[in-house]
Amino acid sequence: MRFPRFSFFLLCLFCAILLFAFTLLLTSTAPTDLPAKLASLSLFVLALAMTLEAPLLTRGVQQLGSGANTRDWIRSLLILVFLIFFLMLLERGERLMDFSEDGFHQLRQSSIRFLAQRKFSLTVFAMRNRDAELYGILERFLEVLQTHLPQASVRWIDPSTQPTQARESGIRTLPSILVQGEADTVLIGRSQLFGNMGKTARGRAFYGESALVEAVKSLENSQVVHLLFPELGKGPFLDLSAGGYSQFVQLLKSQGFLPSISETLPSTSEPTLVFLPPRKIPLPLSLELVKRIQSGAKTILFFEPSPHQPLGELSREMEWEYLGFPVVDPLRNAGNELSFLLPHFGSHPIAARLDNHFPVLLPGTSAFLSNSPRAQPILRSSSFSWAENPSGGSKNPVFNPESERKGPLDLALGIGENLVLLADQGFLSNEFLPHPGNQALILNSLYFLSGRLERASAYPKFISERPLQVPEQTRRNWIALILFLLPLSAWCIGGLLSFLRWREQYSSK
Amino acid sequence: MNQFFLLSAHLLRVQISSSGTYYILGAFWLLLAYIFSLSMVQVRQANIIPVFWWAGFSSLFLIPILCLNTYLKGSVDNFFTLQRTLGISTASITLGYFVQRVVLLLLLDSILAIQYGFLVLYGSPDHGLHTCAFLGLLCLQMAYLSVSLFVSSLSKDRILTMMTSVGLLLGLWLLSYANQLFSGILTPLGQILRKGSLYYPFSHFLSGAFYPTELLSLCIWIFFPLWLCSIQGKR
Amino acid sequence: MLELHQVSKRFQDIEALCNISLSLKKGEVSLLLGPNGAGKTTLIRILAGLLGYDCGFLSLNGLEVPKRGALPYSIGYLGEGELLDPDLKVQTLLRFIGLLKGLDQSRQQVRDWARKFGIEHTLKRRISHLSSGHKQRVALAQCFLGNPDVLLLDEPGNSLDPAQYREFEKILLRERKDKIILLSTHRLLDIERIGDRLILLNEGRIMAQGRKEDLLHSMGAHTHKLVLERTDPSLSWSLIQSNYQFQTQDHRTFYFPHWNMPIQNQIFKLLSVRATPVNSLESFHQRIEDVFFEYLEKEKGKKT
Repeated sequence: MRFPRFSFFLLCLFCAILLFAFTLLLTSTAPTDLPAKLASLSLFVLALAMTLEAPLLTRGVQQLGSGANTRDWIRSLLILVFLIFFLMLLERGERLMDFSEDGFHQLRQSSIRFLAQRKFSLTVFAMRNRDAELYGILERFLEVLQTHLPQASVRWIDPSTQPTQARESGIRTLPSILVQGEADTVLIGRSQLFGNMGKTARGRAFYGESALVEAVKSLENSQVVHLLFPELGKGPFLDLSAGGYSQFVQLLKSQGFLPSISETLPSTSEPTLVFLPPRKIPLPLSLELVKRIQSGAKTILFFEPSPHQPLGELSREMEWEYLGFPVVDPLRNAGNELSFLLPHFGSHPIAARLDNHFPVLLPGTSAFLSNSPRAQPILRSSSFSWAENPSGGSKNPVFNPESERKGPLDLALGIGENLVLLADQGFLSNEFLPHPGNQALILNSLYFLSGRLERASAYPKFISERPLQVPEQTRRNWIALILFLLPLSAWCIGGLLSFLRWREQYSSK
Repeated sequence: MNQFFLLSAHLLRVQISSSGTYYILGAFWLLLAYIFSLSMVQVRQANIIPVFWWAGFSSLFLIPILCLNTYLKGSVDNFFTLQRTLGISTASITLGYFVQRVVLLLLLDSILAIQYGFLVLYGSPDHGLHTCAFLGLLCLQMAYLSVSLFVSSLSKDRILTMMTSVGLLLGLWLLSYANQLFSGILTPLGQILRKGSLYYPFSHFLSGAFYPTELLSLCIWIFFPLWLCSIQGKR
Repeated sequence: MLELHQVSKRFQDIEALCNISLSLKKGEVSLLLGPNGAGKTTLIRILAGLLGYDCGFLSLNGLEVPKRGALPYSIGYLGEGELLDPDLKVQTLLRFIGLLKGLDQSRQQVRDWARKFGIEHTLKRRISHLSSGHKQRVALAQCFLGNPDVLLLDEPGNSLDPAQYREFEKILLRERKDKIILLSTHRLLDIERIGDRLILLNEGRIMAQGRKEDLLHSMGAHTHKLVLERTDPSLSWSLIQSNYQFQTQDHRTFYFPHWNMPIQNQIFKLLSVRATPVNSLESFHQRIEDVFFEYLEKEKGKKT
């Protein structure tokens, strides 16, 4: 009996080690690097087997082409060289073909237009082996960026090989991007690029586009914005803590705005955010506001549920009615885990740039009513919501047609080009300010009023991972069963064919 | 051309009536079903992209096995030789065997379509992303197939063929990490080697976006070894 | 007519064929003879288009056959190894080959040839389940299928029992009239039974080729044997003087390679002059293998 070659045993060993490594990888519950070590060992075994077979392999290569002549081989080689050269030529300026639903890998046209008009350079600090997935996303993003903006220079620095440069640049997290303008630099850290580092239910978020646009914006001259907080620190919303008001100011600064706190209404026409007090608005403030808005000055007004019908004269003139009572979505009472309202976007230019995948979150809100042609909804409630009787407090509010109105109701309105009304200051409270959708709404409002709507930020995109909506265990088990039945069926068919062939052979004997 | 179709139809008939086909199908489907079920049952998320990745990686070992016997049946003069005397060109014969195995690959990958069907039924998957990933997987497997067919045409030694195919394909997979090995002046070399790897374009297909040159690179890996195969068997 | 003109083939450091020139005519069975390693299989594979050649050219009816591309003639090829896919059924294989050869009515033709080669009962069996004799018959059947222009058979007698081989001979002789047939064989009986032309190959070179009778004569296969009642050395001397070809060891038994009426009359005249009585005169055929081996030894001797 001919004994198999030693390399045959090595090949079997290679397969066995690899199989064991993958079984471990797929079945282990605790993280372990044993599969990786076993995989490396298997590669070593394969390399050893190939070394033993090298003489045979060389002979095989020498015998190859016993039919074809030298001319054929030279021709093949030339074709290969030509193809490689052709590929390298094609690479210049080629466009990415992005089939993902969100256009995850693409830059938005508004971002491209914005960035193309600015001069900046990027220095990227990243270590590939440590964060392979993040590095890949970043690399792809910058490749696309350079395709659309060839004038943007990008430099990569690996802190493991160039620690001094990394240290001098002041980076603290990896990956990071240093954006250099003509006179200033802005650092985009890991959390700005990738947000919440744990994967969300929607997958890995990447904010690179918006972070870059914001960084470039902040390199430019800032637009002054006035903030009027008559009762700052006293209300339940933005407070004086680090996560409150100062975070809001930081946000504005990062977006190229220069916030200026006022206790009185400024007389300039520069955009002004006015947080109306929850109780009755003082008359002087009310009169000043009316005068300001009637003069066409750019203003954003934040309302609270009470007082009812503030700024009466202005309301009449602008033809809007402030309903003032909280609007509650019926899902809230159905035990939905969401504790806040997700409004729908209207047709206003501010809302058109908001992303449906990352909506504005509100704990509850008031509503406006307007039939004026000058008024355009920015946020709307669902058509099923109704106003809850504020004095009821019952779990199942009863719709009162005399005092309440059915949806959809406008939760934010734009009146002409100078006035934006937003109901409920709660959506800019400490709790909800960090949500990019909420930030985007107020920032887009400021861009709109300052005539810079093209600077509306790009919103984070997600790798499209959609969770399977299969709540019941039974249904999941059924799916698994069907999937395991398929290989079983294939084996049964194979077994049947083998049996038939065996029977044929047996009968022929 | 007519002979090519006849040959392909014949080879497909042989494939479907072979019990080995079904054993391989079963094993491959079992692996992918396990991975899909793992994510669905444990994580409550049906993410099919890792299944694509595992399909691509396990094909690296499966496809050389499928190609082992292509040129090895019989002894020196075998069925391949007989077909050549019937006036069928080596290109047609090579392509015929290739088409036969591509159909087998499509059968193997059909379970991914079933899994995707579950996603469509119960979720809202990204159609563009998954179509792109499937295209990438098919191109990767066809590239494996070409390379394995070429290697199996070089030698009649099964062990050598298997080892060389797997080693070569693994090497092409690992080339995607070449840019980590080369730095400084050799960085462009690392980048070229990475772009020449099989895994690098595949990973981009899995993310739903790719450059046309990456698709072209995979096509070169599919057709060039087939071309070498056909001229190898010429008179 | 299929011709080779100065064809040579080299495998690395081995010269398999050197300056081979031969003609194969339609309606003739040409036998390719030679020891192992002579180059018979290489020559057949070149004619089948399976191997290229280094120099020279092929021509069909005076027109040169291009070195690359399809051959201008259809082939029925029988190689020396296992040609058939062992996993296929006989019927499937033959029908497939019939379709590849462009036969519209392949089913009928398959049945006909299966009947001729006595493999009708094996049509539904797999090739791997057949005996080697049956496999060879299936291989022969696929050769003849489609009425090819050229039949190239490398040792067709392998694994066939005498009865089966007889049947094959009958089929070959019946089918030869519109075909060019080249048959490589170690069975010297084929020379007598089916060969029309002989091609002797040794170490890649043609040692001899031509019509069977002429070649055998030139090799020294004697045709008549004359036995005298007593020894007569003077007869030998007279025969030499008269330029007759003969062979004798004892001046009593004479072997003549050429014999016809005029020669017979002349020799009898010589005998009657001497009054030498004749014991017997008969047709004599030396065994072909003896002729063959003697010839080879002679050629070897010439070389050394």
